[in-house]
Amino acid sequence: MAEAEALSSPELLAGFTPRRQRGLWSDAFFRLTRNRLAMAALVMLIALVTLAVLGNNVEAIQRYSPREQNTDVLLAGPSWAHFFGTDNLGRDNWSRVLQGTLISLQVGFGVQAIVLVIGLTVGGLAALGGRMLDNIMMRITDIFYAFPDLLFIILMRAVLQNRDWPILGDPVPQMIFAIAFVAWVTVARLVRGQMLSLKERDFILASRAMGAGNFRIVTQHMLPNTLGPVIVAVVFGIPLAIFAEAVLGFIGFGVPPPTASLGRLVADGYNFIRTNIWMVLFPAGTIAILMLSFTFLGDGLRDALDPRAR
Amino acid sequence: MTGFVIRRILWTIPVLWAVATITFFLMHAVPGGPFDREKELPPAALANLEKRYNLDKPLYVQYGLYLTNLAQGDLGLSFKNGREVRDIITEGLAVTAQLGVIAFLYATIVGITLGVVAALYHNRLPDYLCVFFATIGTAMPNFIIATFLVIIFSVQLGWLGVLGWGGPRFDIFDPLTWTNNFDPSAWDFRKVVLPVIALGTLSAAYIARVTRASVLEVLNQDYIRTARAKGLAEYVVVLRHTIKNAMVPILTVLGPIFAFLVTGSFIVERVFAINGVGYRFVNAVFQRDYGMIMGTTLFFAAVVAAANLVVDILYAVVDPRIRYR
Repeated sequence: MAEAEALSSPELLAGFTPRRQRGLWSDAFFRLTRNRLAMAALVMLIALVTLAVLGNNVEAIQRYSPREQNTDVLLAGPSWAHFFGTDNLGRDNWSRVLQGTLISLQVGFGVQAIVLVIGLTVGGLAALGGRMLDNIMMRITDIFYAFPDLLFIILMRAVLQNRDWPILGDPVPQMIFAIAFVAWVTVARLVRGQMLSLKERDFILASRAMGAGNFRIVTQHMLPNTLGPVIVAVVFGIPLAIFAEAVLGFIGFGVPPPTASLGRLVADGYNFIRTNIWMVLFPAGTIAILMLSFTFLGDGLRDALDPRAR
Repeated sequence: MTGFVIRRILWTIPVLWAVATITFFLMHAVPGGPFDREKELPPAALANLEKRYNLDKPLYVQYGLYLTNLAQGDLGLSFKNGREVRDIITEGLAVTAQLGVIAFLYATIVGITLGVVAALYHNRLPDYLCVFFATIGTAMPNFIIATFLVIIFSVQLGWLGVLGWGGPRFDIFDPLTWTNNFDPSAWDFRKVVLPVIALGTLSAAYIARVTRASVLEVLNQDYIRTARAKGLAEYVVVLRHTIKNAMVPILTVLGPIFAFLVTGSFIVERVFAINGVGYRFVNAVFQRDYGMIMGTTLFFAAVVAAANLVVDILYAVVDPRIRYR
């Protein structure tokens, strides 16, 4: 529709007035806003983030404490009193799902923040630091690549548990660290590949011919051009991290009870699947919506940032 | 070619060594000993146990023993029941391999069919349906798919089983000798369907994506136009010219997918209470059976490494440019 409008505008028909200049990023943003699925996913995610943050801090939305047990309503279905029903101990599933959602989001974003830092550092060093450094960095990534991901995360969790270290003493940062420990490889390889191919491109040569120094070339030309694919990879990485956290919770190796994580809620609900399917349905649905939304957003970002790679 | 293959095979040795070393030291960094109980063991019993598992020796001696045993294919002892980890894995593998192979067949058949159909009907309804399946399949965690399937087919409709594996039990099927005491009547179809779908759907979706992209690319090639121009029947063009050439990238993803289906099944095994390698691994984690955890991790790492090896060699066979890198 916007295209049709642009085509029929008098400016373009006059032929000579160029379209208002847009940078790479605003152009990409414009393309993203026209992707309905991605926008729906983005709206959904903003709603979920808001709900998760408010639902864990504002009592009016949370309504019950996630650990408060009420033996009068065990395994109840959805009602006005308990939106998502109650579990086998009479705890309110709405507040527990909200708590789990917040943990999932924290893990998803936290892991990718670490992955971004390590990935850019290792990938950048490998691409720009000469052959020696490249070889060392890539052999290290090879080794990490050979590990079965989830098993290694479980090992890391086991190593980190019951420590009273400053930040890593809490279960959520522990999960984030353990997952990020295996997740950075993809981004590191991507950054290296991008930078190596950028190094040979003509516009880098042109910039160098005009007298730009190494620092300027890296920060002004290489980094911005690497960022597009990296952002896409990072967004696609969020659902994977959420999945890993859910799996850990599901097999009982996640955040310790009574704290609710979505994976643990699904596992708990499984035991009562014949008496109260709502107990498993709501957390399972939440995980599905979270992962689908991030995947659709990633798809949209990929199409927007690199129109050629369709 | 031979040189490339040999170099590639030799490269897996340091990788496996690194995995073994990292696993070993991580295991020893886990807080708490393997024999910590609610009720403390008498010191003499503890000393005996530690002697049995070589835990009384200094760390570097333990590491040396561990590597020597590994080189001989000995994965060590389970800390909980004192059995050989190798035996426990072999027993579980009979079930896991059945599940993995059936899921692999399901993923390949469904994935390739959907991918080809999607490409042939590019930008029409069948294409959209296949892309929709592929997107949902890649984005949904397998235990969530399993949950929804169990709710619909087992709890609501009551058609399919919830727990256990319907294949022949491991005690009547010997994977090492491939002994033929295979009893078809031991199969319970109702218990096979759900685990296979739960495990294989992600891979099916992935294969469908790769197949669609690959077939679309081949369909745009000049030789397809030539084939059509000289008046070949459409099914010959599709089967002989298109699919045959489009198989190359698909073949190369099948290796890691096979490895993923065998190693990644522990969630599905846990959901359906299937007594395979993955189920035993999760139990080992619960019981802090470090011997078993180390052994399983190494075994899975070896499977992954072998799959990567096969893929790299397949690539080199298919695309000669890679060898001369």
